[in-house]
This record gives sequence, C-alpha cells and structure tokens, in this order.
Amino acid sequence: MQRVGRAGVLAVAGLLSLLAPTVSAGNWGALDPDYRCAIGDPLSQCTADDNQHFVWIEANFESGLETRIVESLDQDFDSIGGILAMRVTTQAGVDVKVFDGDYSGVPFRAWTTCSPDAVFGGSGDSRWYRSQIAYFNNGRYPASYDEAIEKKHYACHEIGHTLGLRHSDDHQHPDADSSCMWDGTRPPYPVSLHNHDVNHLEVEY
Amino acid sequence: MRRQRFAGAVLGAALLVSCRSLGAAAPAASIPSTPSPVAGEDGASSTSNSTVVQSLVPGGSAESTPTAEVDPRERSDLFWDPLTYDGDFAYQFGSLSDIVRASDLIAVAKVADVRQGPSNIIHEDQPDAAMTLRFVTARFAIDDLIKGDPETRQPGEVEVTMFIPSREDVGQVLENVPEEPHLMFLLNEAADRARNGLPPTPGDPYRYWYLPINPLQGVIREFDGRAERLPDTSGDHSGLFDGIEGTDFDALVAQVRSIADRQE
Repeated sequence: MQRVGRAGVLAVAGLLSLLAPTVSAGNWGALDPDYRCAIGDPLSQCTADDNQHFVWIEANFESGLETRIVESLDQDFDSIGGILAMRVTTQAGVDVKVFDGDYSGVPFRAWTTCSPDAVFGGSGDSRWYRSQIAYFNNGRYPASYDEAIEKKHYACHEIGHTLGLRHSDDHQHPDADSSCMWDGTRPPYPVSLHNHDVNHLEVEY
Repeated sequence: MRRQRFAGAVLGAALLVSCRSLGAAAPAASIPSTPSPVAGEDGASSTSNSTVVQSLVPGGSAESTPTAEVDPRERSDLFWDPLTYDGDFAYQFGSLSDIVRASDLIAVAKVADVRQGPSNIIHEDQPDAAMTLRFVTARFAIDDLIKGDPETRQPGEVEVTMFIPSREDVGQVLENVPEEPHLMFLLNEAADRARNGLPPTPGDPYRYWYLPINPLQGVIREFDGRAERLPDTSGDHSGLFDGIEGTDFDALVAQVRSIADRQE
C-alpha cells in the first residue's frame, strides 16, 4: 500500500512537472543568472523576493493608466499561487515603484528595471530585486495608450515583468500572442495572463 | 534576448549591495557645445521633472577611439551589440513594406564617428528612483539616400542617436567604430513626436535626432556583399529578416528603393 502510494505521488509529481513550465521555456526569470543590477540599466529583469508584491504609484500618474494597473494587480496577479499583489501608498520597502513620463529617444513604450536603492539576492532564474521600477512612456507615445485595452495590456505586461515573466513570444507556445506578456505591437492587445504565465507564477510563488 | 555584461567592479561587488553604490564609479564625460540644461550624473546636461522629460543635450566629449587591428565583423559586433536589445518597442514590423512606409529616412551609410551623449536624468526629484538615460550619437556619412530628406547640420550626413541601456558598454561602442555600410531605417524624433500629437519642443532639440526604427530591425549591415542583421536579434520574432539575411546587399537596397518609390 505504501509502495502504491509513493508511486502515485511520483506519478502526480511527474504529471505536474509536465504541466509546469521549466527554465527551458525561455520566458521566465532573470535575463542573466549572474546579473548585478546596474543603475540606469533598463534591461534588468528578475523575479520578486517573495509573494507579497506591493506596488507604489507616483502621485501625478495618468489616472486612466493608474486604474488599469490597480485592476491588473487585483485581477491578474493577486491570489495566483500565494501571491498577494496590491497597491500601497508609501514608497518604503515596496516591491515596485511605478512612474510615467515623456522619455524621449527611448524606443520602449514601457520598461522595467531595478531601483537605484535596490537590494538583490537569489540566483539563476530565481534571482530577485527589490525594489523594481516600471516606467510607462505614455508621455512620448500617447497614441499607444489611447484606449483602455492598451493601458490594461501594458499594466499587466510590466507588472508581469516585475514578478519574473518575460515575453511570451520568447518561447514557442502556439498561444503566445494570447498573453499580455506578448510584445507584439499590433492589436489585438491581450489584457491578461496566459495559463503558461500563471503556471510560472504558481511554481515560483 | 541580449545577455548583459558587467564591469569587473560590479562583478566584484558583494552579494548584497545597493545599486546606488554601484553607480558611484560612473565614467565622466564633459559637455559639448549645444543647448543646455542642467548638469547631470555624468556631467552631461539634462532637465527633467516627474512626468515630462524633454530637455536633452545632444553630445558628449568622449569620442570614438578605434582600437587597433580588429576583424571588421568583430568590430561591428562589438559596436552594435550594446545597441541591440529586445524590449517593448513602440514600433515593430513584419514586412519590408511596413518598415519602409514607417521610416522617415532610409539610407545606406557608414559611421563617420561616434560620441557619448546626450544623457538625461529622469525623476530627479525622487531620491530612490532618479535614473540616467544614456545615449550615444553616431554621425553617419550617407552613401545612398533612398527615402526622405535628412534634417542635418552637415550635408551628406545624418546624426543617429541611440539609447544605450548599460553605462558599462559605452566605452566598447566608442572603441569599435564599424567600417561596413549599413542600410538604415530611421525615425526622426521631432517628426515622430509630432505624429504622436506632441507639441513642438522649445528649442527644437530633436530636429536633427534620428534613431533606428527599433534596436533590432533598424539597421542591416553589409559584409562581403551580403545583407546581415545586427548581432543577437533573437528577440525579433516578426519574420522581417526571413528572406533578407544573407541576400545580396545591393539587390536588397534596390528592393527597398523600389518599395519606397511605389509608396510615394
């Protein structure tokens, strides 16, 4: 009986391992396992340090986009696995700081990087930083943020980056363009996560 | 995805250090002759507030200092690699027709020189969020103008100002000026701001500012008569380069010219 039970556990574990995305899925975690956050380097990307994901949004943030970020935290990330994702009103100790502006000359609509005061730890695909900063370049590319669906797409996308998700089209999943982590620039704009992303988050957090 | 590189000083840092401390060893650069805002982290000028960042100074004094005897392709890779990165680009294209239509200027050109700058500190009023955005500016000598009429300080040239994500890579770019011709798909920053409905910027600092239409697709190199994409464009899944990579460079240029002429 005990042997059967162990076999059953192994079978279930095997099944779960098939369902769960792996590092080789290519769209999860640190871009470089040895990465040391360099101030000003907007291409840093890591996981979060724990499952409490507190997000602070600057005071004069564009209100429509702000609404979508809060909505995304609640609808897309909170309660996935053990994640507690929510907006907070003080900067101290937050996981993510969110800004918008006119960042002319920068070819991104939005990007995520580490904060100048960030601390980091972990290794490999679980390398983490706290705090991270999400910049929304809506002042430079306002036409990209005209519609609520676009705002929700970029809100979900950048928050996803701060939890370790990379672009969905970096793996070969046929439904990559149905995730908000898709970096294609034409409509339709997916506004929520794909199950593949959810699996990553559930495994990590 | 481009892999990041880091200076030894950074690699040698303790496991838990703040980014602010890593930033202390910033290379210095002085300010050139052009419009003028406020001294920033690198000594370069910039102006910012919490939401609008528009004042930039085009130029820095650190200029290209080519290294001796380096293979041309290796030199080109060293130059372009820090400028080739994936991201959530404002513009991305799946066909030659689309990228030609969207470009303000298309030309075959060679790098004449490159310098560091401008740089721009954003959110300077936020002590734990201020960040310096760095750029390098290359003067390209135009061999063949295919589309557009360049806004330029010097006839026959175009200034291409490119965002460079990592400060650590600036020196590598300055030291490895590539020699080969490039087919450039460029946006004019002032024109693109206008297309986005933004009002003219006081002092018109973006008039001469061209940038690749995006960091993965905006430049195609010529080596041995063949078209070659920039190093590590693996983040591009558009299919644009299917049928381009490795083809005859002159034939590609003729094809682009034909498309541009048809779209006029």
